[in-house]
Amino acid sequence: MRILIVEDDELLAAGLAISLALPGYAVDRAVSGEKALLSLGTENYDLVVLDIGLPGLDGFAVLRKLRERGLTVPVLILTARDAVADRVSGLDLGADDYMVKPFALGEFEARVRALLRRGHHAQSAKLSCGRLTMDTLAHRAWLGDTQLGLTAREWGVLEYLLMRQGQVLSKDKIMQAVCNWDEEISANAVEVYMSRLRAKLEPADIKIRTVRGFGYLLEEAKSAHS
Amino acid sequence: MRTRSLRRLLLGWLLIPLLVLLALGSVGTFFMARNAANDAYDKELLDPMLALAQYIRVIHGKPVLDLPASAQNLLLVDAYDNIYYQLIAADGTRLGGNLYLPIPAQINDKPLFYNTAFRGRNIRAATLKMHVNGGGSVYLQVAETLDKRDHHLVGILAEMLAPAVIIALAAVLLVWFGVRRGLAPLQSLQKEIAARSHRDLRPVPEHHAPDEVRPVVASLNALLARLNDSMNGQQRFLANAAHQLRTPLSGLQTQVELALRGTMTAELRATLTQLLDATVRTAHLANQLLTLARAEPGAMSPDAMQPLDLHKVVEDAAQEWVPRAMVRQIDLGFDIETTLLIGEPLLIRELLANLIDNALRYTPAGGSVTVRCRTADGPVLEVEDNGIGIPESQREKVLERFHRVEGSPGGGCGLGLAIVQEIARIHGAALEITAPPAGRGTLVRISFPQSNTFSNT
Repeated sequence: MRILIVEDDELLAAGLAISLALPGYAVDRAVSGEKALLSLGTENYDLVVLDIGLPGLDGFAVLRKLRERGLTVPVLILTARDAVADRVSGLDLGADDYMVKPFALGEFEARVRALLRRGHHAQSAKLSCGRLTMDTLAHRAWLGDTQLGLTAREWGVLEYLLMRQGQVLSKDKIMQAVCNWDEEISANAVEVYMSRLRAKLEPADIKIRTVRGFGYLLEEAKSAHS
Repeated sequence: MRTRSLRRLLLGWLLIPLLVLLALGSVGTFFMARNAANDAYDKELLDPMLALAQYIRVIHGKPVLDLPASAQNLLLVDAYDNIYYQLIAADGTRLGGNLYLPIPAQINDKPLFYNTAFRGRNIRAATLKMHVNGGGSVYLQVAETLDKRDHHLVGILAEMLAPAVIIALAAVLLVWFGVRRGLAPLQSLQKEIAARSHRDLRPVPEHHAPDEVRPVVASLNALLARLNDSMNGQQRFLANAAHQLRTPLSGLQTQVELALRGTMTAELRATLTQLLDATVRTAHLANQLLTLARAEPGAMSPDAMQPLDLHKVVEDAAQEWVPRAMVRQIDLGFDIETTLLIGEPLLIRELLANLIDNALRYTPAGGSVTVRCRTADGPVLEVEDNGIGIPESQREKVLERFHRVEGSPGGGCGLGLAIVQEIARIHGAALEITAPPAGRGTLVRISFPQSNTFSNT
């Protein structure tokens, strides 16, 4: 996995580069928009971490140009500004996520992982969390070497959760994601599926947290936390 | 010079001279009416005099008033007054009648009227010098008491008094009303300025103001504009400063966090941990100052207000805060429904973030924090925790900037609730800090106004 960090602040860029190099990602750095576009022309990246407040060509311009070139690489925007307008224009231009400086390194790494996972999933059909793997093409799931038996509904819920590890998901969203055209499922049904999935995943120490009055959160596997 | 009410000044200058003029006019009219009445009565007094003159005869060369009793009754009886008469010879010899009056010094052929007294009463007398054929000249005097005249005078006075009072009252009313009407534009201007929010630095509309006041309004507007500029300048400076701080702080925080992942002596780890704490606190402070700057008067354009759903705002916040709560081992829960309001999205987000941040800071591990939103009398947002709570005596003070409850943990900068209050104020919302029904902890409730027509400045 190759990541491009576009950030003109030396201290921050170096820190981010080290934190991403530790788990084994290949990291390139660019200190200006122009240099970033140059690198993007010669190398294939799995993720771009892009500062908005760059000297010269700013982050928005870089984002616009790289999308114009047809690059679909996920982009995580960093900014010292936090106006809603900035956020909206960033996301409108095709950024995939957005972080306001300063941020905790752990949060940054989690977002990077989520974006890589999403980008990765677009290419391969495999999802994983700790000892759980899910092959969405073969429609099979394993806990380690043991195949995991799942009903169609359980499969749908688990796939949805795995694609959004570490994210808080409302019951409504889960219901919408899982229900078919012809039949709706109730909030109670979601609870039932969750308790069944919990029972099945417990041996692998995979936790589905309940967010009271809101929904659920599949905790990222401990091993993924560097 | 003493500053006075313009209205009182105008009323004083208009009313006092007007009332004096009215009084003088009334007195003048009264005297004119009295004189006219007097003249009329004097003329009437000539009637008995001329009638009496008919009865003067010359007997043995001496003028005599030969008045039969019937004529006496007819001529000298009046409904109101006593009538007296006297006939005196040119040499002063009394020739008849029931009056004893001296003859006035200067008298000619015309009757002379004058006031005098007789038998202890004021009378009006007329004296006429007559030439009697063959008897030389005599003086005929007639007088009457003043009852009729006095009575008439009282009548005149009464008739004049009522209209005079009515005119005076009408004048007072008209002047008062006129001054009031004249000063109405000033008053409406005053009301408009008084009703303004301290955030509203837009110019006062000049076209409402009368010509005389327009220069004052123009000067006021110039001052407002300068004030607005200087506040905007401060806003920009503060916002820029906070922005400029964010990037280096972000780098610092990242580096320290990275360093802490390595192996090192316990001493160094403790130092680095303190360094990280300080960095995070400084970053937090920079953020809070930026937020506060944004919530200040003049910082927000009126069209930043837009319809939004609190449910959605809380949902977004959940993404950010549930993981942080999990790190602190606090159960962050929600009780939310669709709650529509008009607000500034970024500020509402900051308001909620500060409330949750505060709750998490002052709730020990194992505690719980609940975020609620609903529509009651208006949109309501609540954050409740079962943490250390805020003593009742501190509930006002915690809203002050940089105030921190003594001995409280958490490492906050003391701006959180001040920011919450500032943002609530912009939205016309009420901020209420209480203890939750269960007793322990803090319940902060933001009640937004029911209508959407709050100050949009």
